[in-house]
Amino acid sequence: MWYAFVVLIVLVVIGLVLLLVVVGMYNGLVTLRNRYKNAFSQIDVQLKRRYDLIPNLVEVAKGYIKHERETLEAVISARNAAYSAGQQAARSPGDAQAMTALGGAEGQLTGALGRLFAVAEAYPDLKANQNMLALQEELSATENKIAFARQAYNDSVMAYNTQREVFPTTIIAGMFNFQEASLFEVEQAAEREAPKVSFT
Amino acid sequence: MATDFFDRQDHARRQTRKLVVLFGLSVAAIIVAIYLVAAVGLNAAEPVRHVGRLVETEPGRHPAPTIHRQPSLWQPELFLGIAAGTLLVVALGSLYKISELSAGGESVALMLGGRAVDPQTTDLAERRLLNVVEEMALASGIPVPPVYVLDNEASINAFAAGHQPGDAVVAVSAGAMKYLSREELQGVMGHEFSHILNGDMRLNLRLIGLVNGILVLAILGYYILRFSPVSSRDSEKNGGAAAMFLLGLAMVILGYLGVFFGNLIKSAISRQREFLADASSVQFTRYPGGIAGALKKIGGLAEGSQIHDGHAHEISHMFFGNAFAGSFFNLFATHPPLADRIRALEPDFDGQFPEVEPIAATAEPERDHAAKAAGVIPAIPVILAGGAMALDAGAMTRRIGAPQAQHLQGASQVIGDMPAPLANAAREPLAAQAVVFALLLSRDDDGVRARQLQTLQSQIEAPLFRQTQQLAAETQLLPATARLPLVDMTIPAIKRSSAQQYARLRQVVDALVAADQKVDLFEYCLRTVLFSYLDVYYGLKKPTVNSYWNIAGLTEPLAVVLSLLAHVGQSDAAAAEQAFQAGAQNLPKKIELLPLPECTLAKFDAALTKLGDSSPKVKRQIIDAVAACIMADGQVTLEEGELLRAIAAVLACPMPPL
Repeated sequence: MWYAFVVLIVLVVIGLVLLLVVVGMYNGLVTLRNRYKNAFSQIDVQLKRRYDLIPNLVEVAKGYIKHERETLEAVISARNAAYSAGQQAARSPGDAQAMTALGGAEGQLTGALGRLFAVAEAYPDLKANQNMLALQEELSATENKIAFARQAYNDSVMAYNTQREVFPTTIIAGMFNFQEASLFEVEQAAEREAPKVSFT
Repeated sequence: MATDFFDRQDHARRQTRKLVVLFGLSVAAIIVAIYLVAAVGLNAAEPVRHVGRLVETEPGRHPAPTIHRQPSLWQPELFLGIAAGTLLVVALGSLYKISELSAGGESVALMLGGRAVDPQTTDLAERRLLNVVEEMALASGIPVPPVYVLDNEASINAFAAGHQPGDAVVAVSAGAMKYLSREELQGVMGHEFSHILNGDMRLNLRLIGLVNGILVLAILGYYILRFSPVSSRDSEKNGGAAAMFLLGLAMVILGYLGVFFGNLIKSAISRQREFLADASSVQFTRYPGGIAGALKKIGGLAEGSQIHDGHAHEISHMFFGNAFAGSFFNLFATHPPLADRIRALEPDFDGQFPEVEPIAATAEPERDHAAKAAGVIPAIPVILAGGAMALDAGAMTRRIGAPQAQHLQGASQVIGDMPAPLANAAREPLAAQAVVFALLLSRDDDGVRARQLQTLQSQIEAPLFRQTQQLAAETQLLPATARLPLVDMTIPAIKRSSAQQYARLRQVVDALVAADQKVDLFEYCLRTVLFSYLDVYYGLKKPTVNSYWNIAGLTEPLAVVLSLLAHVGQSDAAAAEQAFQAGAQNLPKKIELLPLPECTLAKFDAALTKLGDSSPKVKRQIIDAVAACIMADGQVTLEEGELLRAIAAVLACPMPPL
């Protein structure tokens, strides 16, 4: 009996130590996954704000732009496409398909907006309109916030993916189906942001 | 009730110790019982063969065994084996549960289906909830905790989870948002904050872990029972298997008995802590009607405070109200009966619960109405106000972890008085960085300011730089007393950036501080308040550890801290000496006031960091000394107040602003 107990105890100890290690790794993965999902919800908030601003912008522009109305329609349809892609992505943040679709739709939207602003150059009254100026200002502020939130999301995804692939965590990730998360990359039509200069 | 923060924390620890002792006794009882069962079982099953086997295995020790030897009930090897096995199973079972729950408050909230509330939400009910939490956090001197909503729970309930104030989260059910008024929500949150401040979260964690250890024993017994060969036909030949069966049975019965008693103890302690938290909440809000109203609504609502999520039982005693409908004898109820809790707050409660109607969400008032109604709106908020204040030094220590109504009122006023552009910016991750940078821009030296702007422009993107410049116009006009509270407000937003983004923020802050080749007091305090929590959150620094158990070994760093405080707070050398001596008088070793040139912030920082690693008892002595030094002249200057915030942040003491 004595030996049976020793064997039992040793087995129990090994089993439970293993369990502890597994739980530690599992917890680590869960925390990192929570972080990137939280980070996506931050993007989501700002994207929604942007989607809300665009119809107002188009409404103001409509009053001035006589020709090239298709630019306006293009903006609205790009906005609608991005909106539904955004909803899809919010349901499953990190999902490769959803993130690619959102990235593509956002790129389209940015491009369409860029063309609208180019067209607006030809209408001095529109450019001077106070509403237009305020909306443009708010839009660019929102875009900055999106860029920041996107960086936070991508950093968190990288941290999660790295942890997921490191041995021995990778075994746990496989066992509990921790899927690889996708980065959120926007296909930039034109970079309108000032380049970052660093003297450090 | 215990007198101050350290006493209450100590009380929580003593409760834990008492529990551990009780628990140890029950484990010992379980070991003895299992052993008896196993020994009797072995003897009864096959006494003869058993003895024979003993002889075979240990021929040296039993040179003349007889087959007729009476089987003994005392078999040291068996006892040791069982004791070691049981202890291991229980210890590891406990550790397992504790480590599972130690992923932090965030994980607990998500496990229960919580959704993080966006700090910039425009939903009126969510906005109100966030404001209530923000005010309370500011008033109690802890970083604003992330707020979660349990969307699937229609009942009225709430909980706080985490290890220490720095990583706590609070969560409320959807029903609580729907049915509770602002005052009632405040009462509920006051209750949860007192759990955070009284060290109950950690106590809860240990409670869950210990009981789980015994539960694992029962589960193991179940498996032994299930898979022991006794269930097959040929088992009768095998005495060992019969013993195995008995052993399994004993483990199951004793394990569940242990769980039963463990839960009894757990619930008894938990009920006591609930009364304490209710009382602290009233002390905090000074409005018994708030929390009592919330409790009455739980009684009046069909769903009560029930939580349906399957994980709720694991943290049942962390909730505001009973998460489960009436259990047997009320023995296992994690919370005292509703009527008892209400009567403790309103002695003439008639036991009638009101009909509950959803509350229409209204816009948050621009300023706190309570403060307005009371007619106390000084030009400068009372928080951190400079000038004369009649306070004795002992009061300061008593305030830690025990925020009072005036702190809540003051906090709500500081938030209310905060210019909207700054308050909004502080709640958004990117703009919060701009707020921090803007606060660091020099107010009086244009040359330094120009250099700082140059540094900024070279290190951050153009839009962020522009925003910093815009906000700087606001921060220049901000009363000096509101600057550190604004820093506190940015912390939850900054927590939403990635580790890389935080690292860059840190770098830019350091560059801004260094722009004038020296660190001034406010820069130091901002840096300390901002980084001491965030560094731990991002894993750059370990939480403080208890390395020093006696103040005698810390007199040198304490002399540095007190010297700087004395010089900063007093204008002439004689007064500084007096303040220093006031702080130093109760120390075991005599220390000398350092001359002003030796009191650099770098030295102060090194000293403070060392003091941060002391045990709670030593921390109380440190705070007492610091308080005596500051209060020697009966006045708290702005600089003293800010330094005190930095000291409290490094010592991880939730100190309400003065």
